[in-house]
Amino acid sequence: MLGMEEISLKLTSLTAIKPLPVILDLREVSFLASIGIRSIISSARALDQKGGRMVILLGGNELVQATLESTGIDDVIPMVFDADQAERDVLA
Amino acid sequence: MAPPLPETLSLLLQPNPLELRRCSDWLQATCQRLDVPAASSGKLDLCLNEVLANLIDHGGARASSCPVQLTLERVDGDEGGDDRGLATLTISDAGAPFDPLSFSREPLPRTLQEAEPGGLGLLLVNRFMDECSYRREGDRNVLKLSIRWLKSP
Repeated sequence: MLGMEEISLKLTSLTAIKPLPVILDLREVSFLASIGIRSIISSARALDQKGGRMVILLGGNELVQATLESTGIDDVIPMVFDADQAERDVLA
Repeated sequence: MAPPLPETLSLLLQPNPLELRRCSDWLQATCQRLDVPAASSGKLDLCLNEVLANLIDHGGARASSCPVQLTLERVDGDEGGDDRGLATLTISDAGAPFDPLSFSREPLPRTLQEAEPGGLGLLLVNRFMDECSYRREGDRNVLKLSIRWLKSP
């Protein structure tokens, strides 16, 4: 299992340099705390400023979905439920 | 006949990031023992993590040197034919007086630039818990977080 710092570093490396399309796959994440949401917001902002785009892939992960909806992140970063849709949206 | 006593289980831990995993394991195991549904135990686990992270980051020297006591209690009601389960998690720490429920909620963001990276933990606690209460008892903060669920849908 990766620790939060490793995940954050990986996210930053993916989002801070090039305007890449990024699918953040949270389907197997059991638990998303506020420290993780902060990292997602920072990375999505960095990506947005470079002209890139982030989509969050949830699958049927109800707790993570509820967490993102409760903090309003679903309104500012697109959330989708299957991988094909994620690919279409992130490249749109 | 007197009503049955509620089932209660407790844990003492040091407010230290290295304890968070043990704490989460205890909560999950205790919820399972008390038949708290997975959806509710997941929310309790998340909220406990947020409260402890806040305590570790902002509780000060006294908070970090005294153990935190956790208690999970299940008290089901049968009020008005409403067959609901109720679990209450009590978090008691020795930090300076701090009421995490006293902070006002910011409006939810409308754009990515508006999204504030801070303050999300206590927002989650407010959103996920059905009842929250805080009181100062002697030299300890006592926070109670409760969640309800329907036992028979």
